[in-house]
Amino acid sequence: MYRLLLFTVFALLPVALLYGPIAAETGIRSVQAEFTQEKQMKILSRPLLSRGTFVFQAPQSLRWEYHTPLRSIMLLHNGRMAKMVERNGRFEKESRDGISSMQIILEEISSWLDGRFTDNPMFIVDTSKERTVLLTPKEPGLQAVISRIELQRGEQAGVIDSVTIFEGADGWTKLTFSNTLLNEEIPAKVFQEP
Amino acid sequence: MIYRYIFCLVTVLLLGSCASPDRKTMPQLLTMAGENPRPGGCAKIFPTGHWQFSHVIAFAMAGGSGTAVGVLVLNGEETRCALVSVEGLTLFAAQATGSSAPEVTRALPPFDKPDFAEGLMRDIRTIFLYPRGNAEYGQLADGTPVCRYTDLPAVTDVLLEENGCWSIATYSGQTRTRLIRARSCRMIDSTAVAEELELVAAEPAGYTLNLQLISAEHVPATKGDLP
Repeated sequence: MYRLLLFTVFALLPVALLYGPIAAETGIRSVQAEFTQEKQMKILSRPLLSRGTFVFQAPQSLRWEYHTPLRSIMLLHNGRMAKMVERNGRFEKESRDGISSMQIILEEISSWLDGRFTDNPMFIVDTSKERTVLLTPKEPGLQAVISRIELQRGEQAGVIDSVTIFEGADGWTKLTFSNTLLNEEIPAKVFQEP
Repeated sequence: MIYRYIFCLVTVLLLGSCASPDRKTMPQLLTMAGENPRPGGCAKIFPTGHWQFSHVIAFAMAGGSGTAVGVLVLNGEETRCALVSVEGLTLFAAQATGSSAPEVTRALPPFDKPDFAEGLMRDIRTIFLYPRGNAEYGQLADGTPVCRYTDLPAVTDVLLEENGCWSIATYSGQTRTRLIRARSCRMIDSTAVAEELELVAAEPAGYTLNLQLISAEHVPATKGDLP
């Protein structure tokens, strides 16, 4: 099951793990932000950079969108998920198999969105450090892929500064968020397929 | 998600290494004495020194299609490569020197299949490394300049186009095994770098890889440090 979930976990954890519980704790209705994704591996001389935006609306609507280097959109809304990748100037949906695997992770995410942050079946959650949340996988199978996740909360409630996902000693992916907007009205079409 | 398609990609890459081609046969080379057929010759399409390339890789075959990011670091004969999901998850990483067996440093299923790394490195070497073997220079019957490298039973043809781009065809015996077409080429530090590459492996393991260039740059030899 973990293998099946990895792609989605990787993409959705940053938002789902933190914004869901934060929204539940603080009553935040929506969050919008830009992000820069820096991917580093030992074999690389220079990191891979991606940029995009995300929109989260409580309780569980999410649009996670990459603008560069490849345009892709992941939507989670009304219990349904979809992923689209731009090819030849137009968006094409990923396979049904992929969507069904996302449905599984949605069940995991739902518990976080309900604010059950420490009641996580997949991760040991350490919130002992101020503004830092550390997540360590419980299962060896997942540990082999993600050794830990480090989330830095911003000074303002509801704001994430960064999320770093460590893949053992060989690499990491850091998401740095900027231009965060809280509690703006989100048009319904944002969560609809383009 | 894309596992099904990635599995198909793995399968076809592996099969491709021993696949019978699309029945295209090796054309006759009309040899010419002397230098390469174009100023700069065929060597200009193969980067020398220390480079890092990244591509968006779209793959297609009978079972479907998918997308990933490919990273390649070249440093002379040393080759390091990785496949990364769009979301940043490292799916596969390996390195090799020359034609030696690759050392796999990370391979998530199904990329952990025994022969996957070999097949991937073979494709990489075909596209980016100067071919091994005895070199001949000449042209095809239609006048296309070509460099032919023979390392029996393998033969590699590098065809130079008027627009500065190129194609590579590989043969096993007389039968074509792969065709790579470069499009929208531009010179970067004396290397003709393609904005787009298409690799076609013929039936029965037929698959197509389309590589869109994200970046191509000379890089220092330092490696990334963990934060």
